[in-house]
Amino acid sequence: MDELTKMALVGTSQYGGTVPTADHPAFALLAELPENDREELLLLRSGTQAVYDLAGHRPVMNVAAIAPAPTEDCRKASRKLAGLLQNALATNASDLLIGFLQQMQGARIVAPPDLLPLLLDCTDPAVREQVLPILGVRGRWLSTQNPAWSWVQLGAAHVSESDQAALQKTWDDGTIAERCQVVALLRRSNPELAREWVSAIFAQEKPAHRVSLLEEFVTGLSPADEPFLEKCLSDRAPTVGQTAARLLCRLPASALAIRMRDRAAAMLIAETKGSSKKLTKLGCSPPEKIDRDWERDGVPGKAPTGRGLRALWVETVLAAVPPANWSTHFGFSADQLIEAILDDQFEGPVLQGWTEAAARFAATDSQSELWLTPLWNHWAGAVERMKGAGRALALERLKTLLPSMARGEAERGMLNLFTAAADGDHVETLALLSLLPRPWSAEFGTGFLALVRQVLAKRSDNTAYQWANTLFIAGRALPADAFPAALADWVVAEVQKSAAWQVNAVEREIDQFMEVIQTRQGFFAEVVGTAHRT
Amino acid sequence: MRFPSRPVCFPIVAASAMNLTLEQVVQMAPDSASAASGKKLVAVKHWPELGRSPEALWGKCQGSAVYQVKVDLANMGYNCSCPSRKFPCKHVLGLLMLTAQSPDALSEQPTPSWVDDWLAKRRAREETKEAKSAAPPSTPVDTKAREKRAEQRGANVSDGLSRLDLWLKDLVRTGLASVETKPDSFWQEQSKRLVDAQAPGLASRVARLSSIPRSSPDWVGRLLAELGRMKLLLHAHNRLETLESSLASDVRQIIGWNVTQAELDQTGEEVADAWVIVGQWIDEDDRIRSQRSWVVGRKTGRSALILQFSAGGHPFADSIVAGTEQTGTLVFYPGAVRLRANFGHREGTVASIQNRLPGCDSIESFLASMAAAVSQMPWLNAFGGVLRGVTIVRDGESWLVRDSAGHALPLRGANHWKALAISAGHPSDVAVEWDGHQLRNLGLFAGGQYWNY
Repeated sequence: MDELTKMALVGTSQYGGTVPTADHPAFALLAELPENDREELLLLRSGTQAVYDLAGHRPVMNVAAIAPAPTEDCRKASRKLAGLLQNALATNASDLLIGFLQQMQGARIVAPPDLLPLLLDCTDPAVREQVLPILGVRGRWLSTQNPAWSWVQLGAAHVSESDQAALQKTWDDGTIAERCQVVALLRRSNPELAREWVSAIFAQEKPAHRVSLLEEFVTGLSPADEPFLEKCLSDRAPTVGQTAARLLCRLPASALAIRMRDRAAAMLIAETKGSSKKLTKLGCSPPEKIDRDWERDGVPGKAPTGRGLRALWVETVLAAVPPANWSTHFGFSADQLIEAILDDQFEGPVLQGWTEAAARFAATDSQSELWLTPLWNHWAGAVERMKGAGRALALERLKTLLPSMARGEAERGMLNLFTAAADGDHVETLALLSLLPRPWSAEFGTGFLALVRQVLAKRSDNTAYQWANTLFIAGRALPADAFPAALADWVVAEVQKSAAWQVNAVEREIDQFMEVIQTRQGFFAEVVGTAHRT
Repeated sequence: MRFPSRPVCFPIVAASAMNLTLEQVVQMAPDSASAASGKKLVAVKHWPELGRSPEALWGKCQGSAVYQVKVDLANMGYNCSCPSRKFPCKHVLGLLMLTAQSPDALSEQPTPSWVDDWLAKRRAREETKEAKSAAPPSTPVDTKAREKRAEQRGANVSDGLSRLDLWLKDLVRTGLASVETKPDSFWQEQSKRLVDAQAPGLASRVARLSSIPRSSPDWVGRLLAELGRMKLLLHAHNRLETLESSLASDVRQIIGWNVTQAELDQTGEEVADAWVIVGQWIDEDDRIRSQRSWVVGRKTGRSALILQFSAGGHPFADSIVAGTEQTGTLVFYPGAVRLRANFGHREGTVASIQNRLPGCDSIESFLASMAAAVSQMPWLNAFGGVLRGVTIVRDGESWLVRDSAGHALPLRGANHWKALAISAGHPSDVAVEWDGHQLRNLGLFAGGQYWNY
């Protein structure tokens, strides 16, 4: 702080002496001013100095250049594409955005440069997954300039040595969510190292954190993890043991998987008839009580209120065994075994256990995958037959199976369910629609739209409104091939004035649906146009 | 009840010169709500009739009624038949956004009569205005009364400036440490006194002082510099008759005397050029909005500041869109450094910037221009222009604009990621306003196009 500023800060009334006359070239201009008016002199000298300094401002010198982004090797987005993408970003329509980003990936179009910061700021992991491929050379370069965007590097499958150093830092200092992300990433490329890191700190972590870290072991799970997971079975927190047990049963050769298979086999007894050994009945007989070894393996020792303890054991044990095991063990198909268990005292828990096991093992065991459709058919039949709580329960089972099913199978099953629902008043099955993998096939899309049109053309009640509500999902899930079917004229049933609000609501849904489809159509057309132009 | 499907394909026509980007249209909006409402109209279904000609864009928008929307491409003037009190309204914004996003949606057509009539009225109005300014006043001016009013105002201003002088001296007598905890009203009270003394320009300068205390570690020095420059202004006002007429005009304008149209016609300097609107920002000060547009001539390289004010949600008188250029004449206000200007005459249509921006090729030459301007007009608050071939650089938590010689100036604000993403670390032309401490980034030309900021 120079003397003039010091004097002004303290005040001339407190600052003794004359107004400082620093060796400033501008002060020569003020030589004739009276020395006795100190305030006048101070202000004029300050003003003159300020003007002099303003005119003679010097830049910061020797600033190092930054290495620019390398040349982009993918197609650039047009301004129109950028505008549509910006709208999707601004409205937080992440489902639309994901669809757009996937289209751009397909056409090898990179994100418009001005939207890169917004895209890199996205926190939704599903959006981030889709953002990564369209960042292009420039986006990846930009992400290295801002530590907040390090997820671009962390999200890549390959972990280099320098990446590993960055991961180690996050592992040491990060939040539990960030540390779980580190484990998930490391498990993809170096599961042993991830296990070492986790086991080194495992005992000091809170039970909830131990569970979260352990859950990431599902990535890159191998027999090498068994000793550590076996140790976790004895964890003082039951939830940690149960998580470890769920992981161990995914390893078919693990000691726990074998123990569970043996326990399950002891529960199920097949009755056959005649020399052809035709299956007549499958019975389930769980033990009356279990020992501590069972509990150590994740089988609950206590049941929640309203649940039978033995039923819970059946469910837990059977859920731990790949369903294909039963086809081999008994020599019967999934359909036959499902048929045979019906009417047994433990029919529900057995089917529930098998359903969970099928959903769990379908991805890694093609023989268990064969169980998905028979189980779907069973529960879909129950949905049609049953009412109330039973129907709701069956719907829950369908929800469990749906994410593991192949798209074709799932769409066929869903279309059958919806076709039945379109003729009746039940709309609960429509809740499954959001679980169907997207984008839908053109066949399912057009088939589903035909059902919606059929319902809306003949009804104008609350059921019609519920069907119209599905257009929100359809607008985002329909493939481009189904756009013509979506944009064809819509016919809505005429109604009395008393139900006008429902018709209005239906009209609004249709209007919004068509707007979304037109936006998507415009975006797709622009993507195709960009690909052709460049 | 049938819902007809909407056409989704448009006839392909050649794009016209009016190719504003979506961002430029958004910048024209009076507020973010209007911009959002305009965006909702960016679909052909809302527009039963759309068209364009070399002179205009038009469309009929289906709202609660059918509104007629027109845009004059000669000067971006607009009109809508809706009753909205916002200017431009969402319909005008919607039409411009639609044109920006899907230029092919508006095909070239013969101008309908309702657009023709409007354009004809606008042209007639402009001609009347020009004729009026050229003709002598219709009613005789009461020169005596005018002189008396001027004398009275002169006395009021002198009185107000004397009180300001006392206030400034009081401040440095008691010490600037005492203002650190003063409320905003401390500054506003003095500002209001200057408004009462008919010195509104100086009143704004005093009001702006309130943002300096505690704003940075060197706030005392900055406040003292501003108070000192204000003292110099009072000193100059006391010796007005000894100053050169151009500098005296500057002093009077800073204090708050307006330059009348008649004065501008007499003393304004007309410069013809292809004028590039390199950047713009709006200062929201209480109820008054000030639009500051920096303009640089392609041939003359001259910088100009077009200042517009609006109050109570009224639109700015002229449509000045950053990132566009237009051939025409700028009329520069009198002063030692003729910086402030208005469009006198425009030719052709408004076009988006397609080529690199005119401006300074180094930070040294930009600062030299600033120095030359300050040496003639010491109360210059800001100086705008273009730094050509510079890069945006991050330095810790702060940002810099760096030229090829390694010289740099600090950027105002903490988030310039968009500028970095657009320029990708490569040299680009950056439009700036320099206040002596920091650069305000107003826009940049990179990758063959202009980007609003």
